[in-house]
Amino acid sequence: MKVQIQLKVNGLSYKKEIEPRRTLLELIREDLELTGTKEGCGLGECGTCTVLLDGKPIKSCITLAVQANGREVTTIEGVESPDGTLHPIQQAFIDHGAIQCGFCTPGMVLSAKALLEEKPKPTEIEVKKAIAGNLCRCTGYQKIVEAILSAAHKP
Amino acid sequence: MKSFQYFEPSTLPEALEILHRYENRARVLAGGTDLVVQMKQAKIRPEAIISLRQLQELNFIEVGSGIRIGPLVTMSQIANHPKFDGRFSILKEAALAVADVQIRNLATVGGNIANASPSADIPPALVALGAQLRLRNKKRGERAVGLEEFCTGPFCTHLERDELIVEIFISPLPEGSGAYAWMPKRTTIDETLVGVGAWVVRDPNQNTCHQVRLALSSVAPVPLRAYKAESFLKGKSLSAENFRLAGEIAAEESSPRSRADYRRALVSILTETALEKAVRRAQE
Repeated sequence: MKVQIQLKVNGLSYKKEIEPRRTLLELIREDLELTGTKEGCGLGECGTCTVLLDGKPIKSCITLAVQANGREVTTIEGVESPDGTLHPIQQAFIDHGAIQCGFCTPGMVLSAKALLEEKPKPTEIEVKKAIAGNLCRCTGYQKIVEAILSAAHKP
Repeated sequence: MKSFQYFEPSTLPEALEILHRYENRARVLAGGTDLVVQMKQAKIRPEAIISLRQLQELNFIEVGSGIRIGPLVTMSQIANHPKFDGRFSILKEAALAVADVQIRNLATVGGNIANASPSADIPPALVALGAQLRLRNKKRGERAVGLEEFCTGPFCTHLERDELIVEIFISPLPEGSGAYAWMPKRTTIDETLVGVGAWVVRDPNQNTCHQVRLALSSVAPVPLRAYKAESFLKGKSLSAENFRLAGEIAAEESSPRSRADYRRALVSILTETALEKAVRRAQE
């Protein structure tokens, strides 16, 4: 069976006919060819599949695409400005050396973006709790936390 | 994952009708954070999925003299609700013990209760508050059951295959205050290793324990009431020493399956912590 869904991704509207068993991650990567969102563990533990659903971080590998029907998704591709200017969080990640292999970065940036939209001046603990669902095997998290705090507390 | 028929009923009776028709071959989709994982692991292979997303009448939080929570309320909604502060912080604390932000944004209270993992946090917190469930199916209509009796074993409840949880309700608690203290495992998913939900009613004149409920996570197949610790504490002064002794009794009452010694030690400490926090809130 197939179902019809309508959703917005990074501001653009899409109508798709899909099998209900497709995950949101599959839709994003395979149908929409937005490969910035990653599959790591496939079971909702590592956070590399993080996207924003109506502005809230979720793990797209364990979300059925039908759950996004009628809603707005933001992927990492939708974070920079239309003219290509990087978001302050993205720039901070670069400036602070918070990227090594880069695999966790899209998820980290989106979790950070959602945090700063809810809490513009978070404490270090609040930053750590906000990225608790995003694992990084390379950096040891220190630079990531510094980058997010720096983006938040910029004058 | 295996293909399935997908339904998105727009009314509760419609949902119950489909659920009834599929007998035990359908599963209900709320947030999906347990369901989709289990389907991806092929632990379950439902013929049909019935999504509750259109039944927004199941998404409500009413705090009056009692508390009524709809099954579709997410952990994030619980964690951010202004009324789950002060003496009702136990609910916020238990919700924040669940996984991480991403999971909490989708995971629902109803789903968490129905999944009945022994390491779940919300059920023990609700048991400490004396919560009851309203269940509904097509044949029988509605029935109420205490949450404590509802959980029967690991991933087992009294929920019949064609039943839905339609409400979680907590009878008025004019006095008392609670806390949830917990320790996670050091793994990717931060599963709770031991959790303790405490609800204490204080006799202010003598600073003694008028009433107490202690419900533990992850030290038994179901949320465990530490009845002996409760009996010990009742009527006694709310002193640090008595909290410590209550903790030791609760530890003895627990029956953890693995890492038993360490878990019992944690029960001791976390019971003390939860009691101390709960009582401190009563005085604030």
